[in-house]
Formats: sequence, structure tokens, C-alpha cells
Amino acid sequence: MSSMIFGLLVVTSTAGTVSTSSTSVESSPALPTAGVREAPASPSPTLSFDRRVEDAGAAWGVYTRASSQIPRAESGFATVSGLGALVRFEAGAEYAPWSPVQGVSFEAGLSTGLQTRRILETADAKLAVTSLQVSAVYRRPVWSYFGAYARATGGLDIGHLAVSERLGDFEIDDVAVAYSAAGALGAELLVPVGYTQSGSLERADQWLSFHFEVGYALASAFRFDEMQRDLPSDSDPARIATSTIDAGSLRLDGFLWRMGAAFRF
Amino acid sequence: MPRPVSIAVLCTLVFAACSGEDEALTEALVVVGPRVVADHLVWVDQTTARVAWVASDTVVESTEIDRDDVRSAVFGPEHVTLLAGGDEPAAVRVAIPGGEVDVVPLSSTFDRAFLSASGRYLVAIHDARFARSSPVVAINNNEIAIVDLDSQSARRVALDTESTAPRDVVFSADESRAAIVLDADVVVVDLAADGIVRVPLKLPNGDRLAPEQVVFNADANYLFLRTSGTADVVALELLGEGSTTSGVLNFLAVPGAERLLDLAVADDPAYVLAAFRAPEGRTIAARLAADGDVSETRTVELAGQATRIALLENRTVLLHGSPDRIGSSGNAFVGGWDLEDDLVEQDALAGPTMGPAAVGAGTAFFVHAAEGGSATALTALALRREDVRLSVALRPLVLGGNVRDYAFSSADERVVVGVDILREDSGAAPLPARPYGEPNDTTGALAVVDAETLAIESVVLDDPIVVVGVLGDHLYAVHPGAFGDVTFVPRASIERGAARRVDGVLLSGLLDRTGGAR
Repeated sequence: MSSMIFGLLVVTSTAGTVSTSSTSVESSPALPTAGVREAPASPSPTLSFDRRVEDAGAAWGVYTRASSQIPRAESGFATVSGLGALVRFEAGAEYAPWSPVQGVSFEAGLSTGLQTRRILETADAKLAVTSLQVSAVYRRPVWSYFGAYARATGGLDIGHLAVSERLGDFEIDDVAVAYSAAGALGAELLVPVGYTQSGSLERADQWLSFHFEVGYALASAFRFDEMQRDLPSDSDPARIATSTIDAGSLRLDGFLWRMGAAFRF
Repeated sequence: MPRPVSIAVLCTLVFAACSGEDEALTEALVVVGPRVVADHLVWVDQTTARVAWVASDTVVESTEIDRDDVRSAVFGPEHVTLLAGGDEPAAVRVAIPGGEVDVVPLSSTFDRAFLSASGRYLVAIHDARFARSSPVVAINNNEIAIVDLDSQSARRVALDTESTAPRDVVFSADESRAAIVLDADVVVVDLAADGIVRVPLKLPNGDRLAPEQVVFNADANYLFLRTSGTADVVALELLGEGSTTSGVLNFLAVPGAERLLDLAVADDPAYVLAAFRAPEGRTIAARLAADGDVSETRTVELAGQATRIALLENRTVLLHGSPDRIGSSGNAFVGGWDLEDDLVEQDALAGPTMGPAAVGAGTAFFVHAAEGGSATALTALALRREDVRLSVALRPLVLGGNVRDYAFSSADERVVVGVDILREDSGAAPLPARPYGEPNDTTGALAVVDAETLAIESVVLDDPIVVVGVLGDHLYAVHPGAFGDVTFVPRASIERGAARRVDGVLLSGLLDRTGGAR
């Protein structure tokens, strides 16, 4: 695998097509090249990254990522987070209509994050955020198996804020909804892991992606203005009517980073 | 390909990031309140410098004071005032319900504040018992600050006594003077001027007397002291005013008295009421002339042992054996003294008292053990002057639970009692089972008793009660919980359907805090 990565590719782009010239590393004339490897009994290898791209066609994929959003100091987030960042786990599916390694692709998935903080000696605050995210990604190969991409993401965020006494029985909580949009730039390492036979060559049709990106998110505010004790409302006898508490607003906009892996096929 | 160890390191970092609990942020919640201010219930969290308030029909509002190190909070008729230390010590007054803030800088960090009844004057003192972490290496306990909150001015006053610890501050009814009670001195200061009178409580043999109770008369020209080490009433006559203020000390003695038990303001400013312990468990009640004229002294002797004396509005004097606070127990003795005709009557409750009396115009309510001691009773005591005698009428009611708190509603002559009762079949909403199967076995009930007819109205609430009170045309019951949980019940409709519950008052504005948790 490592020998493949050292295959030297020079990628240029003209009028929507990608052509690639390649020079093998000196004294390693038989090194395989990206996405294409020589069949056991084949003639000398052809450097055909462009062919790989053209032939790849549509691809599906799944991804899992860790991300962290760093809200601004005045966002109210500091109340619930000693760390100052909302760490999330993301998972979802992607679809690349034209190519798994370049061009436009689309993603949809879920993201969940949790922050807890002991806000006082006897009290804990907990913020859980679950997001439905959709993204559009544009990828460009840069060098060898490395690529760069830009991502635009929109999200529907559901926040659950709960405050509880350490020795108490119940928590006071509320659920709020916010919307977010984010832009990010990232780098990707694409590793072919599955091949199909194409004439004398094997062409990659399964890829692992390892990627890292940074960006900025804009988000509307979570408005936790109906905090109340988390108790059944349909008890018999009914509970005394309860008025809610306005705990204020919390915004998650700020810088973000993501890192993760995807499998495309 | 990332190695497994890299994945493990990454997961560890992410997991650590999710649990952002930092031990430096674990200060104890220091909540003062709730107290009634401008028909609102007000809580102060000194840890976060947050003030939160709610009325019976409004949403919770709150504000955070931009000050560190809040050391004390006091409540006036229209404002709550916080005593802040740190780099910029100040008295910070917050208007309720408007939330407007006034700041009066102070000369140094003080620990406790006392507010006059009108809310105009604040006296700040050092008190090591209430001090939090202080940046000051040494402090002069003999320095106080007098703050005029209306004119937003403060002045430093040096007490210059031999005492090392101020304990209390008592204001005169007309708010012209305040008495600073120290461990072996009393200092009277003029609030609006520079007058000061120092009273070292030192006997000729060098022994020191510790002041235990301080009472101004209505005209603020006499200060009466109950002290350790003497059975006499110490009367300080205050002469002049402003910088010419001076004082004359008298010791008012009653023959046969073994110990001075209690002082009370008399109907006439020239007198003071006092209760003394006499031999063989008897009690002497006395009305003493403030100027020491023994020919004016009137005393009566009662067979029982009282600890408290109070003047009712019908000019009868109530003597009783109540303790100072709920949870301790007193004795069952009650007595009455008619000041006009020197008529005396005495009786006993069915059991020892379990808290201070709630005193109304001509009626006092006592919570005490019922006969046999297995239940709690509430007895209404009425002192009535009849043709040739004073009558002590006791009308007991047995309560079906443990009394947690009670208050007197002077507007309609009713006493409000909060009791704990068994939740099952009480009419309270059930609670989900606790973890580990512990039962939620009690809840609270609010009972309202008419002082005249003893008619009872009650409503079962959804949680136990720790404090009850009157807020305008509503009653309130505060439930256990660090964040402020309260139920309001209209006085005109004592029923669950008319009640309103608010939970987590101190969480109002939680996310708007400028500095996060502190």
C-alpha cells in the first residue's frame, strides 16, 4: 500500500476533463500507480488516473466523523461547557453522481453531541444537540491520493438543555430547535481498497477516505424559554399548573473542524 | 491506514472532551431568600450574583450583577441590596421588579449588611463568620459603613471600641439611629449625621457584659439592653443629636429577679417591658420606667416559666414559652397581663411549643405538640379583657402532619401553616418512582386558619413545603430545592385548580450569564 502512495502524479485540468501525466520514481519502474494496478500477467503498467476517474461513475458511500464546534464566548455556551467546544459524532450516507474521488457529491446524516458541566457544587447542566445535516461537497484531486474539497452544510439542530441537582430526583429541561449553515475546506486521503478487472488492468471501485476540514458555522439561537420539571403531565390527580422558566438563548455559531473516514463503493 | 493505537488515542481525546466537568467550578450555591419585595418573591444567589424574582401572576425575571464576591443580600420594601467585595467593594441596589441597578462604592469589603425597615439606610459590618475568601490580610472590625441608598452616599465610621467582633445592627423605628452590637460594646450612631455614642459594657471590676438583645424605644431616645452577667435592664438614654449626641446609662432592676429573659417595646416610649425569671420556676413581668424612676415600676408574677414577652394591639401583654426558632422546643406556659388594670391570667398549652408564636392584633398562634406528643397542634390564643378579669382563651386544632412553617396574615387575621403529610391518597399528583425504589412518601399541604372563627381551608400541593408566607392577595409555599420552587395559591380560592407552580426560579437567564458558571 505504501509503495502505491509514492507513485508521483501530476494532475492538470482542462475544460472539465482531467488528464494526468506520471513519472515513476527512479529505480522503481514497476511501481503501481493510483487507482490502477498491474494485473499479474499484464504488460507494463499504464498511468491512467484520468481513466480511473472517467470510468468510475456514480458511487455511494457511508461516513463517520468526529467534529467540534467552538461557539463564541458570548454565546451562552460557556454555561454548559467547561471545554468551550461542542464535540459531535456524525454518521451518514453520501452519493457521488459522477465520481467517488472528484467533482460534486451529496451527503445526508445525523450528528449528535453532548456537553455536561457541573455548574455549581450541587448542580449539573447538560446540553445535547442532535442535528440532521445535508451537505454538498466539491472535490478536486491534488496529488497522488490526496485531494482537496469544499463543503457547504445545512442543518436542523435539536437542542435539549437540562439542569439537575446532584442529589435531586428530577431535572428541569427544555427542547429547542435551531438552524445552521456551515462552510468548510478540507483535505482528503483516498485509498483504493477494492478493484475490478478491466482488460489487463484492475481499476479501483472501492475507496476509503480519511479527511480533515476546518470551517465556520452560522446558527440561529436555541431559545430555551420553556424550562420546567421533567415530570409526566398526565398523572392522576393532575399536577398543579406549572409556569415555565426562560433560561435564555444559546448559539452554536463559530469555528469548527471535522475529521473522519468514509467508505465509497 | 491509521493504526489502532491512533484510533484509541483519538477516541480517548474525544471522550475526555465530552465530559467537561472542571472542579474549579464547583462553588456552593449560596441562596438567600425568597423574601417578599414589592409584591414579588425575590431570591439572590450570591455565588453567581444573580437576583431572580417572580410575582403570583408574572413570569420569572432575573438579572446578574456584574460584581464578584457577593457577601450579603438584604431585602427592603422596593429593592434588594447586595454587598459586593473584591476590587471594587460596593452596595448594589436592584429595584424590583424593574431591575434598575444603583451602585454605591464602599471604602472596603464588608461581610454583612443590615437594612432599615424603609430600605433607605444600610449598615455594613465586618463579620468573620460570614467572610468568604478575602484578599485582605487584616481587617479592622471596628470600622463600619453607613450607606444612604436614596442619596447614594456612604461614609465610613470608626467605632473605636475594645471589642473585636460586631454581631448585630438594630435600627430605631424612626430610622434616625442604629445600634451596632459588638461582643462587649454597643455603639449608637446617628444615621443622617455624625453623632456616635460608645457604650463599653464593662463592670467596675473589669468583667465584660455581652449584649444579647437590643431594643430602641419608639422615640429612639432610649436604648434598652439585655446582657449576660446581669439580671438588670441596661437603659441608655440618648441626649442631643448629631455631633453633640451623648448618653446616660441606667440599670433598671426588679427585686427578686434572677435573670432577664426578654425585652419588648412598651406602649409608652418612656417605658420598657421585660420578663424575668424568678425563683421556683416563676416569671416576673415588668413595665419599667426608662429613666430609672422605680416608683413607676409595675410588676406582676406568674406561676409558669415564660421566655418571651410581647405587647398585643389591645394593650395586653402576652407571656409565653416559645423557642426562638422552629425545630427547637419551648414550654407550654402562656399568660396574659392587662396593663390598664393589672389583671393577670395564665394557662398551659397541651404540649411544649415547637416554634415562635405568630402574633396578631389580639390573637397569637402557637404550634405545639398535641396531648400525648404523637401529633402537632395549632392553638389560637386570644387575650380578652372582660368585666373584672382577663381571659386567656385557648382553641386548639390538631394538625394532620408535621408543621414545617407558619406565618400570620395580618391583612385578614389568618394564620398560614405548611405541613408535611403522607402523599398516598392525599390528592397530590403522584411522582415517578425514585431510583433504588425509595418511596416518595410525603407531600405538602397549605392550611389557612381564620383567627376569629377557626375556619380552616386547605389545599394539598405536589411537594413538601419548607417556607410559607403571604404575597399580596396570594399565599406562597416554597418547596425544597436549590433553584427555587414555589407554589402560589390565591387567598380567595384555596384550591389546586387555582394554584400555580414555578420551578427553578434561579435558572432564569442561566444562559445569559456573562461569565458562564463561576
